[in-house]
Amino acid sequence: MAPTTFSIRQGPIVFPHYRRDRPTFGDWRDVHNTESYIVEGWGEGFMFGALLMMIIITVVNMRRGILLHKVILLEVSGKFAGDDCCLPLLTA
Amino acid sequence: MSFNGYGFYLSSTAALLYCSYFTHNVVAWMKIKPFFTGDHPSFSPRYCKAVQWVFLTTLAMTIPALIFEIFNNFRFFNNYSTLYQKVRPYEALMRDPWWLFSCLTLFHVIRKSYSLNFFKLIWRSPRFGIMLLAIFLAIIFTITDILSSIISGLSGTDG
Repeated sequence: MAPTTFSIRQGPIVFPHYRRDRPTFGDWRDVHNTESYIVEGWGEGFMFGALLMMIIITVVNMRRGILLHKVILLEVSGKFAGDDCCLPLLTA
Repeated sequence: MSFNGYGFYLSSTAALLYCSYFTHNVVAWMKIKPFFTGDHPSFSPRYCKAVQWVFLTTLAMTIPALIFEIFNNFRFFNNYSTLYQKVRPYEALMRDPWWLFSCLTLFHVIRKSYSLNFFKLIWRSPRFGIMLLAIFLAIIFTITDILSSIISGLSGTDG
């Protein structure tokens, strides 16, 4: 395992200062905080699982010939693609 | 950025997310439409007309705002402007009121037409309890999201 330069407990102690010298433009990789990586990892994992379950529930409840069901599936699929949770598949 | 075009990837997927917010509100309208139009509306004709008009007009008015947010999101994640950070806290206003209204309408109509009180209805059909629980969770998450974009230092990155 590669050595990490940043301690896992650095967050609260330094948190008003470890950034803010320049805008990060929303890039959590840019702040070099291990806690950001962990939170982002858990967050994307939860999001992936939740949206997958929502798609499955939508599909099993669909019936033929009802527009509403198709629109709901479209919406949930849009959320699934929109939540950056397919990112690991791209970067793997 | 971890790879070339990472910002572009983030923003293009976020664009889908904004479209999906709008679709969610359209779905909400499709669900409650029968209570306001049709042969047997559940409310007085005047109220039905007002709700239909206000709901659809305000929903249509969110389209420019969402397009602006998509554009803004591209500018932010590709390091052009930080305007996104200023608009971000108000984003909930252009996506949440419509589906909240329709969920509460649905709950109210069902409660009224079966003439059951709040707890009895949830007891008979727990899925209403789940719906209300999901609404409260969604509101809590929205508030947390707004706070994390207002209070600097609460989240690791800005925006």
